[in-house]
Amino acid sequence: MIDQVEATFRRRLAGPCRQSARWGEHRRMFDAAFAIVQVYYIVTAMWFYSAARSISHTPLDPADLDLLWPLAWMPAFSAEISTTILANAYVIVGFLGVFLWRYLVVRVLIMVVLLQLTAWPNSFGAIHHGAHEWFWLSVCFLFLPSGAKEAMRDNRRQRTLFLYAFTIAPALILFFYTLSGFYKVYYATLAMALGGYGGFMPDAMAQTLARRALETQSEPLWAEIIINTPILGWPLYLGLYFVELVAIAILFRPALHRIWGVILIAFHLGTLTFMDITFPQHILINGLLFVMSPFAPQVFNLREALVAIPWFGRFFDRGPRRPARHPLPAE
Amino acid sequence: MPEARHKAPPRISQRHHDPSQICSHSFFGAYFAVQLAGKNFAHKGEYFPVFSWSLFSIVKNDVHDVVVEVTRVGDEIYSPPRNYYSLGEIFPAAQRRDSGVLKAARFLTVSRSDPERFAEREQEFIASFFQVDEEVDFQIMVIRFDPLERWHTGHVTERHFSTAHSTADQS
Repeated sequence: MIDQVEATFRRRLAGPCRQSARWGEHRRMFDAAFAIVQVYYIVTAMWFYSAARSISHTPLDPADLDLLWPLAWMPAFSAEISTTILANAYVIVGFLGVFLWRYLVVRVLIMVVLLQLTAWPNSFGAIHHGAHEWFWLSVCFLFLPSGAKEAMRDNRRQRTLFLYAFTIAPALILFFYTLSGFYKVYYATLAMALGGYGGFMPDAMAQTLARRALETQSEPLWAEIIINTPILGWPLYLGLYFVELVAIAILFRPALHRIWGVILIAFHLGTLTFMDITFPQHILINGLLFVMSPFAPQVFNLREALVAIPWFGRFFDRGPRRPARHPLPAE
Repeated sequence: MPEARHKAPPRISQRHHDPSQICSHSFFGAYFAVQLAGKNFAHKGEYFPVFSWSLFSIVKNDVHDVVVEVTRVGDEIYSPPRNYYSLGEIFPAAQRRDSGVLKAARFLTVSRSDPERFAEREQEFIASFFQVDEEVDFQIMVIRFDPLERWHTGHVTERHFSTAHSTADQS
């Protein structure tokens, strides 16, 4: 039953990109995926490292804050003791993760401590979402099989399981973008159906940028361009809706992994330049999982990529298609 | 045919359902259900850390929102009141344009009907965003505006007082 649902789901989302399993490339994919996970845990250690310093110097008393549930234990101790516990956990667990992440117990520890780290800046009365994705990646990586690298690499079943489990990470990130796109399109469609003002309007982006800039009295680098000429924002906004909404389909279209990675990074550069909102972790995540995707074709083929674009790919699918030149790596 | 060397093994998932496969499907299903519940029922819009990723989803040209205005810092009285975000030299959250101030102010405003909850949130709000050496008086105003019109002309359709606060009351 699960297989049938998954196969149907995959077939629909893959569209014209119904590829074979590419078994011959699994060792290369495994090496690339393994390296990406390794980088993830090194960067996590770096983040823990800087967070340890800031939490041990915080002037805030946890007892006065609106602590989220992962930090509910803090008021049981004095401010000094609880922040010291956190700072030590960051340093020790982050360090262990650098070289022992292949073991489930260490990955669980990292996830638990990352949850604490994510909860802390969100315990000041409001929740921000810059660190959520990074935390959720630690949850995705719990599904990875444990063991030594070489043993996993040389065992076909382990290798396949590793790649399957790794795929949960890009799947979840793309799922997040699709959720974001879904809500935007849903509210815009609803507003249009009710005859009100909404996200499909030509000046919707200008309205959003003006509201954000007025709210926080910020002066984003490029916001005025759109605010003064709202029509320029229309294609950008509609394009963003599309890119986000169809994101989950990109998982099943490897020819688009790198392109979507670049587009999503450009989107986050846009949140800075147009809205003064930064998502630095998201740039790294999109770079690691999509620009460096283990599943992307080794040689970029523009026609193959254009045909793979959801909904619009059919307009490029004319004439005989040249076979993609994917060199087969030596086993 | 170089591919012939790579004989595909039986599909793992067809032989038996691997635990990681079942767990990952349940994981996505559970995430979807919890984000939907959080978006509709949680007072902060999410059951942390399960977020719906509904960001800037609703676009309006008739916005009702709150503004945090500072009326006094120490001995200095601001008349007219200053927008919190214009005082970056005093408040670190204003310096980094932390939108959490507005989110927390909205939560505070909607909890006015429950005095106990209001007092608790007010204390958290002050502890989070007004930790400075001097006493601060501030007020939360509710305003209504068209963002583009307000940007170009400064016009606000409606403006009325919501709540007044002082950090002196918390000490």
